[in-house]
Amino acid sequence: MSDRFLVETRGLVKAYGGVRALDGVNLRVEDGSVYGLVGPNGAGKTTLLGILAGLRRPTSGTVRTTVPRERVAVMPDTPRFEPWLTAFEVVDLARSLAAPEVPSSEVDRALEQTGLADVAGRRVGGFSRGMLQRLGLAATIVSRPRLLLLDEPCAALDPAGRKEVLDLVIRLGRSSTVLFSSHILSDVQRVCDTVGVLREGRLLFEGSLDALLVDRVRPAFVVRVRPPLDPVVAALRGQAWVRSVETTGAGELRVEVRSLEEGERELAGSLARAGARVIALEPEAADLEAVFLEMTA
Amino acid sequence: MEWARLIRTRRWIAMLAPFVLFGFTGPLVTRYQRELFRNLGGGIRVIVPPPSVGQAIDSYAKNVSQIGLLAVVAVAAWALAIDARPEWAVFLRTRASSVGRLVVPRCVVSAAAAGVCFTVGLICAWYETAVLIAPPPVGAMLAGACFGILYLAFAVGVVALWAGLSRSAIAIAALSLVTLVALPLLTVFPGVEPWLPSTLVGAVTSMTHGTPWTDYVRAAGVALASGIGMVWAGARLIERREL
Repeated sequence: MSDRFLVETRGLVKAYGGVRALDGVNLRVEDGSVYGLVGPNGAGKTTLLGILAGLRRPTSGTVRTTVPRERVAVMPDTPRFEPWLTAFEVVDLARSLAAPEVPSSEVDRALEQTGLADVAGRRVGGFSRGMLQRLGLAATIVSRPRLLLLDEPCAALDPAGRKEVLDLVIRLGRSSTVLFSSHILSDVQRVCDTVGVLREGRLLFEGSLDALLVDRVRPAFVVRVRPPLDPVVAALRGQAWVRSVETTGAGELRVEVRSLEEGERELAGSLARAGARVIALEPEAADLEAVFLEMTA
Repeated sequence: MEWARLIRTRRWIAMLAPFVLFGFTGPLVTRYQRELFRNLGGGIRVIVPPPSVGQAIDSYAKNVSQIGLLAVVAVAAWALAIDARPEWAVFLRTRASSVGRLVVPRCVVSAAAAGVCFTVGLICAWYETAVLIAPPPVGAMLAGACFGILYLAFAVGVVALWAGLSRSAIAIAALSLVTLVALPLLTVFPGVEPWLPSTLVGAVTSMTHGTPWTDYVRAAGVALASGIGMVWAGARLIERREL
């Protein structure tokens, strides 16, 4: 890892009474990365973000940041604003509080980026949850932060809204460092280059997404063939390089192999010798969800 | 933003209404209280002194020191309950460089609005008194108004302090009212009364009777210093509070 980090925690503990919400977390967010903090509900994600944002104090441990507080922007999972303010006023308030030197033209730009330009003059009291989420993002990016802490930014959004927000996060990742928590693993897989897996207050893994997937995913192929399947399954099970064969759906087999190289070399020939009518054959995609479930089970 | 809060939420009406209401009704009731008591009937004879300027203004001051104060405290408590809604608090506290930047404007606007309401009510009382009884002395009224406004600003300071100790707007308002109501009890200690900010409530009445303004300088000094101190302490307490 490089020495250019924006946030680093060492032995971070946060206890509420006798319960440890965070238990010795060593986290490091590199400058310019898009860091996905994943974990089941109650893992301690919000508590960790709260401490990094300066809204909570750790019971013990240290937090080191190399970015001034005013260059850190935070968005909670369900942003709420004064209902009598307009969308423009909310974003302009964020700008004037966090970065008064930023010109007010940035407010329009932030609203446009988040798809709220048409409702800039409307009071936010009538906004849907999705609109509030996007408004929260607009109020977060308007101050041109160096570090964005986003708590479940897609939690309330429909698929189209999620795609827009994730595209925005990808764009933001080019100019800012982003740390966002989520339990939607496909979102993390799509936008993050670094992942931290949190469970019961402990950081089980931290590193690149590739490292997480490569180290834990078993080499396997997904094969779709026309019935009957039994002769094909029997033929494959007789091969030394095949570890297991299971039927995963109608006409679909999951063939786990000793190594991808062996599978690539041998599988097509074995299927042909078994007389299989092959429709599709591909290596199994690295699935963060499977890895996550395995780690947090 | 704080002015927008007052205007768009129409809280200014809630704040202004009791001051204007008692500005008109205080002198009116004073002027006609003899007639009102005379028509009570039941064989009861009530002896009421003839209406005076001092009584009319006193009626206004007494009423606004209760209902008006309640309105001021409620409006200020709702503005200063910064942590009442955590999501909004996260928005504000992670963007402002210090909590003071959030607390001070809220206090200033609440105190200024309270001052405007008190003055408008007093103008109503002055007009009504002048029409029905006799014109009150302008100089004494102005000086008394300054002390009355200072007391309301002090009340906002009390609200700021409780906002640092409680998150809920209702709790902040209730605790502030209890504090302000209990404050005059300190007069049981000899020599304390001239220093108590609560004595400023009656300044506008006493001064129309000829009490010199210098009698209220000590209480005004305490109200000013403690008001500023409570705003500072409230901001510090909110800053230290975890979300």
